[in-house]
Amino acid sequence: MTIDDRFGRDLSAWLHEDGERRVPDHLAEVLVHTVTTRQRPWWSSPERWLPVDTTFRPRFVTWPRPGRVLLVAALIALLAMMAILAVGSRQRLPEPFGLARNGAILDWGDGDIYLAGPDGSDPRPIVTGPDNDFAPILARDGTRMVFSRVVADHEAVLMTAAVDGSSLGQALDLPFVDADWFEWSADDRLAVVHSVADRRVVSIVDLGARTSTDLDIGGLDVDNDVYWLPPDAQRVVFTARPHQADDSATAIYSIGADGTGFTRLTPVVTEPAHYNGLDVSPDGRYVSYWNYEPDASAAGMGSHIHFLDLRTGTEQRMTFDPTAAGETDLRFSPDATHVVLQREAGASQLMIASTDGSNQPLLVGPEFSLDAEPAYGFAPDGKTVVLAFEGSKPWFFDVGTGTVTRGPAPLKGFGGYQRLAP
Amino acid sequence: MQRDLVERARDGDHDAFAELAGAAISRLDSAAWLILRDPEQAKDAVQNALVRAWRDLPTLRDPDRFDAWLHRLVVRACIDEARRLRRHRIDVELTEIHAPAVAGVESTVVDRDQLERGFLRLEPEQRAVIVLHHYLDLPMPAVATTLGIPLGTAKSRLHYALGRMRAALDADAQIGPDLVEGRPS
Repeated sequence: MTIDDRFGRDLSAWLHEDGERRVPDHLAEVLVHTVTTRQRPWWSSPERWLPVDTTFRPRFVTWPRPGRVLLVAALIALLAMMAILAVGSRQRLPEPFGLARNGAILDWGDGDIYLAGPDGSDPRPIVTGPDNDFAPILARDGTRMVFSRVVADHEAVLMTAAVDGSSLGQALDLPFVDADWFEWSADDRLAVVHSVADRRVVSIVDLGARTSTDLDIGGLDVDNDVYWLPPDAQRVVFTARPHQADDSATAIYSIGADGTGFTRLTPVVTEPAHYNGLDVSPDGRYVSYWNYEPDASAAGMGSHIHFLDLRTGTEQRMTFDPTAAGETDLRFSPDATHVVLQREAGASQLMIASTDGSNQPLLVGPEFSLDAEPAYGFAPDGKTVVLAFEGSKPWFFDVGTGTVTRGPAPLKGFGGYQRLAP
Repeated sequence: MQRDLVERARDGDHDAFAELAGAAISRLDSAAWLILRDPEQAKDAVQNALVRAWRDLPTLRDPDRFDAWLHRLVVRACIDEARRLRRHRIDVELTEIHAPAVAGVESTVVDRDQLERGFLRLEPEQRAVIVLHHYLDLPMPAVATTLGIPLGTAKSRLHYALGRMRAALDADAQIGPDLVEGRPS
C-alpha cells in the first residue's frame, strides 16, 4: 500500500465519520416549498443547448460567358451590363467560411427569439407567441435561421425563418427527440445530433428536399462535437464512442454527408479525458481538441490542446502560455490568425493568442468557475471576441489589444452572430 | 424502482418526489456539511438544491442519471452558498478545533484533527471533488459528470486539492499540534 493509498483511506474514513454525524430534520420544510413550486417545462434548460460557432459559407455564382458571334457582341455586352446591375442590386452574401462583416446578434429565452444589434443593443423579439421556440441557429449566409419548436415531451420540430422572423415554416414533418446540436453546412443542409432508440445519432437534414437521413457510423454514439469540414463542406468530423460507454474508447471520425467514406482519423483512446472540445480551422486543415495527459509540470498532468493536421495525419501539442495549469476549448478566428481558449489556473479565463504563437497572449474578461458554461468565440470580422453568460451583459474584447466593451443589455441566451458580406 | 419514481416525479407527481427526496436527504445533507462546514449553510444548500430539483426535473433527459444530477445540484448550491459567504462575511474569528469524534484514531497515519484542518484550508470547489470521490465514492468519470466538467478538469482539481491538503498537513506538522484555526464567523 502506498502513502497515497493510506492518505486516501484515512481521508475517506474521516469524511464518513464526520459526515454521518448529521441527521437532517428539514425534509418537511423542503416539501412545503416544492409543493408550491411550479415545474419548468423540459425544453427550457439552457444547459442542453451548447454554444455553436458563428461561421458560415458560400454560394456559387455563375457568370455569363461572352458570345462567339461578333454580330451579337453588342447585345451580349448590353445583357452583361444589365446582369451586373441586377447582381449588384441583390443582397451580397458572405463566403461560408472565413471573414465576414458583423451582423445582428441572435438571442433567445423563455420560448421566444430576439435579434439585437451587433453590439448587443436593443434586443427585439422576432419570433414570439404561445409556442415554445428555442435554440435558433443562423445560416452561414446570414439570411435565415432554424430553431426548434416544442411539440411534446422531449420532442421538437425543426422550424425555418428569415433572419427577421418572417417566412416562418416547419422544415420537416417529423420531430426530433432530444436534438441538441445543429451545424449548418454551406448550403441547405444541417448536421443534427439527436436520439433514436436511446442512441445518439448524427443526421443530415436537407431543408430543400425536406428530408433527414441518419448516418451509419457503426452503432457508435456520437458526441455533441460535429463540424462540417471546409472548404467544400461535404464531410463532417466528430467524436464518437461505443454505446453507453461514457468516456472510454473515444476517437475522432469523419464521414461524407451522403454516408460514404466513414473514416477514423485518430487512434481509439480508452483514457477518458481525450479528444475534448473539437473545433475545425476555417481552411479545413486542422482539427483542434484537448486532452488531460501527462506533462512536465509539478502536478505531472495537465490539460493540453492538440492540432490534428488532416492533410498529413500528424498531430502536435500546442502550448500558448507555458505558465498556465491547463489550456482547453480552443476556437479558431474566422481567418485562422488567432485563437481564443480557456486558460486554467484555479479558475478559468479567456485567453486570446496568435495561432502561430508569435504574439504575447492576452488574458481577457472575468475569471469564471470551472463549472461555468460560457458561450464565446470570434465575431465574423475576426476583430472581436465575444463572451456571454446566460442572462448577463456580454463582453466584447478587441483581438489586438484586449480592450473590453460591455454590451448595453443582458442577453438571455447568446445564439451567435449574423454574417454579412464584407 | 427509482427510475419509476423519477419518471413519475418528472411528470409532476409530488409524492414520488417526496419519496426520492426522503431517500436522498441524509446523504445530501452530509455531503453539503462536508463541503461547507457550516450546518445552516449546508441546510440552505440542500433545500435550494431540492427545490431546484423539483422545479427542473422535467428537463432531466435520462432518469437513470437522477442521482448524479442531484449531486450536481447540491454541489453547485454549496459552491453558491460558499461564494455568498465569501462576499458577505470577511471577519475571521479564531475557534478551537473540535476534539476527535472517534476514539482510537491514533492508529491511523494522519489523525482526524489534522485532516479537518487540512480540509478546512481548501476552497469549497476543491472540497466538493474530494467529497464526491472520497465520501460518495464516485469514480472520477462520475465526479466529472456530476460537476458538469471534463474528466481532465475533475482529475486536475482533485490532484490539486489533495496536494494542497498534504501541504497544509506538512505545515501543520512543522508548527505543532496546539493550533487554533481561522474560521468565517
